[in-house]
Amino acid sequence: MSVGGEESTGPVPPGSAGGPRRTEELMEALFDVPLAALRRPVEPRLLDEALAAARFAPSAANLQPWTFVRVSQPRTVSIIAEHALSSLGLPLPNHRNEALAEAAHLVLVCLNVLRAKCRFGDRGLELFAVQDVAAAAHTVRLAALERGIASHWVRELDLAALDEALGLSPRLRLQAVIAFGQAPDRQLERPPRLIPSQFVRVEGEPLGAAGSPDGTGAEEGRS
Amino acid sequence: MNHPAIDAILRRRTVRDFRPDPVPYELLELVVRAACNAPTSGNLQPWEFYRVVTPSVRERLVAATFGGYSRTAPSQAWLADAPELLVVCCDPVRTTARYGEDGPRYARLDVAAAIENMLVAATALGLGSAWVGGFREAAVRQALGLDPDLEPVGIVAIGYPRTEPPAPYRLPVADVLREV
Repeated sequence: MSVGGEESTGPVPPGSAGGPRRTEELMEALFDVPLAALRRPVEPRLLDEALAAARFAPSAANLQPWTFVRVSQPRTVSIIAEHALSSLGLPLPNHRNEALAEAAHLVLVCLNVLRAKCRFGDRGLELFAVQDVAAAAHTVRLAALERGIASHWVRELDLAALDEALGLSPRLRLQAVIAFGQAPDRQLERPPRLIPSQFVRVEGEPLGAAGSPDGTGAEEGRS
Repeated sequence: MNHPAIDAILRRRTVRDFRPDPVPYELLELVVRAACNAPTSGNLQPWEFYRVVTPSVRERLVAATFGGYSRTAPSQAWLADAPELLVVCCDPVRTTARYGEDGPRYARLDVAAAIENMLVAATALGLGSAWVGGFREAAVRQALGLDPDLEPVGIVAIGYPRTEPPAPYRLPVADVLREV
């Protein structure tokens, strides 16, 4: 329905054009693009739009316990890069991740400590808010991808040490760093995914009986 | 009639003249604990308390206050001699997350209730207190280095009173209690 020449902004009914299918395509296209492929900057406005999409993520008691900090100072980038770890969580031989330092944009994903705790105590802080912030971060990445912005969830960081080095407010707790950049022109190979029969189970039915889109539960062969 | 809570509420006065004796930390903690037990929308507890312990911060905070109705009036210099100064802040973003545009109003109401609890608790503990609302918010923010989420709502001065202020006039209950 169009009102006053504008498209309705109401919820998209499930199954309608532009609804779930589009979402699923985006989800399928979302993966960690290598940091080295995220060097081309995007308009900060577009990235801010994507960050704003965090408000659509679900959260316990609707507390929305997240704060995103779009990094703009080279010194902050440098501190983040200095706190990079190897994939085993060990210090890098050169104590710095150059690819991280050269990513076009970095965003600190933080948890708002008191907002997380106020209704649920430590359970809110250590469990619900961690889940909520992860959901918000994922929502942001999807919204970014829709705007042609690829991303990489940087996991190999000493978050506690980085939190301290950045001198973040005690009201915030760093949960993740996400690198963003203009999506690469060339198609990157999507990492392999488990097929549904490998991870969807129905109680009381044999393993692999459910979950595959074609309903056969057949596994993909290995080439 | 022996109702300690009512007694403390009725005995509370605004105290602006304190003895220099320090306030034991245990008592201060009790006062803040009383604040944290105020009623709060959705149990969101949107309050934070900044105890001023750095002399330069205290100076800047006092300079950010003003007396009377004019924001350019001289600062409330008596605050400089209060043994304890607590800036009570609210986090309207927390309540907005849950209640939308009504959130900031709820947050300020909650914090006001928390401040009242502080004043009553201080009285019950033999302390004097004053709630100061005349301050330039931006200057207080700057003096304390507050997070952008936080809003300073009141400065609470606490200490042992040098003298007991007389009871001010209060409207009689019959004038303010109406039946509909």
